[in-house]
Amino acid sequence: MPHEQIPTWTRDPAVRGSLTPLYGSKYRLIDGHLHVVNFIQETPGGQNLLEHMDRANVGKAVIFGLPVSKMWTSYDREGPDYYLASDSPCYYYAYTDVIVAEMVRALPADQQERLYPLICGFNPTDGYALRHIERLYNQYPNIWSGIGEVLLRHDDLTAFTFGENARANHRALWPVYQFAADHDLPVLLHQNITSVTKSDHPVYLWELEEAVAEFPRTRIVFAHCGMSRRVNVPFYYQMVDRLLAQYPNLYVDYSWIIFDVVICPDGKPSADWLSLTEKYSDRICLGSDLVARFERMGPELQRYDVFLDQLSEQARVNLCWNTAEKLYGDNKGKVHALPVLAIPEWKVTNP
Amino acid sequence: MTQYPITIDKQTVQIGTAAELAVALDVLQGQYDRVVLTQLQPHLSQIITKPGDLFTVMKSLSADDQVFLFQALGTNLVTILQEASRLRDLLAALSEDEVEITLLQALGREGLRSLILTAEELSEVLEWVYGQADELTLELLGLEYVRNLSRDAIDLSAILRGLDGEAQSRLIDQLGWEFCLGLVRNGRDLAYLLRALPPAVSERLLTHYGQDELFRLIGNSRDWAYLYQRLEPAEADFITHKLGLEQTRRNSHAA
Repeated sequence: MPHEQIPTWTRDPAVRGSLTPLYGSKYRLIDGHLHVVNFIQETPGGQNLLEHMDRANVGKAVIFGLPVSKMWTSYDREGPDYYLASDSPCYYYAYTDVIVAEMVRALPADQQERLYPLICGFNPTDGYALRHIERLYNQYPNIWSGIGEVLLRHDDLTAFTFGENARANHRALWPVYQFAADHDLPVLLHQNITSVTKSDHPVYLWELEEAVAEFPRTRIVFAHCGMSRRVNVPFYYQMVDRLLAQYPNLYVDYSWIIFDVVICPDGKPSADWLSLTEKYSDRICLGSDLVARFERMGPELQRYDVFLDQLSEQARVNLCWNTAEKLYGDNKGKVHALPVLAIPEWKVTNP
Repeated sequence: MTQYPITIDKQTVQIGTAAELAVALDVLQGQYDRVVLTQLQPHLSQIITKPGDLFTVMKSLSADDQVFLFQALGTNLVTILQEASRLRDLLAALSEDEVEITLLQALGREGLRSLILTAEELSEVLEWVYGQADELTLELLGLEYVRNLSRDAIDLSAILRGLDGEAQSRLIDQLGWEFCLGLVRNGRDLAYLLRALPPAVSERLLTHYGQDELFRLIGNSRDWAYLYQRLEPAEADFITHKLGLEQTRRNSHAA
């Protein structure tokens, strides 16, 4: 989830101004991480989204709402429009999924195919979380392409959100992971690897690993590789390398500040990350992580070009398109069309 | 949605919304702000149509270009801002006197009057303007309009709260002591007004009351306690003396 001051939006007088970034990346891609509502659950709408996708050279997008809504409390003179805009709390807002579904349904069929909507509007600490997902699949059977972005450990947002702290290994998520495994659906998770003041080691990484290890048939996408603003640890590259090596069901997306902080600091691609990306390009996708401000899509994605330029053709295509397509494509209607994973019948042949 | 072209270095993009304008200004790194605004000048009021739009674009501009934008929008600013609370929020976000003054001038008397409909709204606007801009706000609204907003002492005290000491004295003088005193109907009104004023101006106010008048105004021990507890020590001492009451000390009740 991006802060409103996304680094690419900061002006740099040393850089020559140009309208080029508005046209997006020179490589046609799938935006693998895009919130279509903001923190007060407002959206510019599907038509606006598609217009900006076209302008920014984005072929498809993985879209979702926001599972929490920011309260306008009695002490907020101005209505807050971002989760950090005031001290007011956030609360789980299930209707976000209906907003997304209806936004997609209002589009022509050929345009709907360009969008991969995910379900996110449930409380991940509620044992009834799966009921919400099932309900949404029953109500809109041919809309959804998976589950996410589930907001778990998220520094200030965790503190602002009513109720128990959400985490990747919360037992309320076990049925959700199982459902995703049964129906071969991806689950996109936001789980900070550590807390804001613990920068010497990743204190929350084990929670993610427990879930990933416990559900090897569930494809889990680790949003922003677990990074948030003020959340960082040493050996980041080695950590992501180990995770991808150890868990074949784990995927990551490069989005938001992970790119500017460690992958391409000061606009210079890190050799280590280039090497890691070559090795695991079929498990990495790219995203803008915009929160509804679709007009920013071009500059947000264009900044990846400097990194993409240095990848092999195959790795680049994987990042830009193939990985996201493999994860999210062909999932619509799956829950009702495909039988639940069949377990071979237990038969003792030599009693 | 109607879109309007901007062309920089032979590249052209269409701009239909304030959000699109803001991102164009950003990718141009602030090097073409005035050029873009000038190209769009005839259409700015079609692109910037509501308060959020104005904030979005303002955040991308330097003070000089903010001034240019306000002048370009002119009286359309009233329609864009819609209500006083948004003017308040906008003023809160501006840090240059010159920009605030340009905004107020662009709104003009009619514009300000159509936005500011209550004393509370005026107070919140005054909260975010200082010095010359304070004066200009009151001057543009006009003395009679400010009088009309001040329906009682609570209204007047709200307006005074947004001004510095000098400006408070000046406004009271302009409104006239007779008018101000006429708004004070009881001890609570007096408390509100005294709380809004620094001790020196409070003293000037209190000198207009005789002892009997003050006793009649405050009326009873409960309202006296209410008033006393809300005054600064110097004001409390002054009014206690004026009423001829015995000064109490903080620990006197312990005896």
